[in-house]
Amino acid sequence: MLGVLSCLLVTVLAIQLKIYSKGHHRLKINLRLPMYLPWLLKEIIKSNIHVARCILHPQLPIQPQTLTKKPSQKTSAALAVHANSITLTPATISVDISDQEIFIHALTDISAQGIIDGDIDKQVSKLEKSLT
Amino acid sequence: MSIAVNWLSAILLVSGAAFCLIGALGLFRMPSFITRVHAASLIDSLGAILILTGLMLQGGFSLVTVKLILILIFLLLTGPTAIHALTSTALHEDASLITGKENSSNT
Repeated sequence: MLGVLSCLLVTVLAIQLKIYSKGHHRLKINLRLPMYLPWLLKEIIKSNIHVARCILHPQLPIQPQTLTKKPSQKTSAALAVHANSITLTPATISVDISDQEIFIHALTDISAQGIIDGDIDKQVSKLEKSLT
Repeated sequence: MSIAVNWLSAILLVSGAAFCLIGALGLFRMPSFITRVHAASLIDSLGAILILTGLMLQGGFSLVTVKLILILIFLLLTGPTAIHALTSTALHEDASLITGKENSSNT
């Protein structure tokens, strides 16, 4: 009962704020997605251990820095997947997307290097290719 | 339920709790706003994944597991969204929070 009420409330608020979109965003599930998700899980585990080691290290060896990355994706859905994947892996946060550029904050030099190397970019591009 | 599944579930739950604890510790140890967000993202990525997977093993093939999978999907979708809302608001309010020039003035 409470769930129904809160769903209705969210719907009414969304309509009043006009934050719903006109286009249809269907969640496409294909053969590529079951290959992308385990890869993302592996990256999440790797960077989690990296950040945990930084936190537990007595000297707190962090080098906070910002960088911009030109994503090679074209569709907005793939861009959203790219940005969310960057945020989901700890030690990198996508702060802003503007003019086909992702503004990223990285916690350490190693994580920043990972973004520059563009592993996530390549994987998401493969995912995008299989969608279109 | 076999002993092996029980043990695997226990290992997942304990390591998930450990990552949540390290994330909470990081919230206190990190020096600035954005680095604290980094520490907190530890909790809602691997902490949530490990704990919910451990609970799924306890649930077995049942409706409980389906609900736990849905909770995990929603957490993995809303977590980055919340972090993005937080950090982009900080960027537009005070860019020095993100670009790191606050280290000299804040400490």
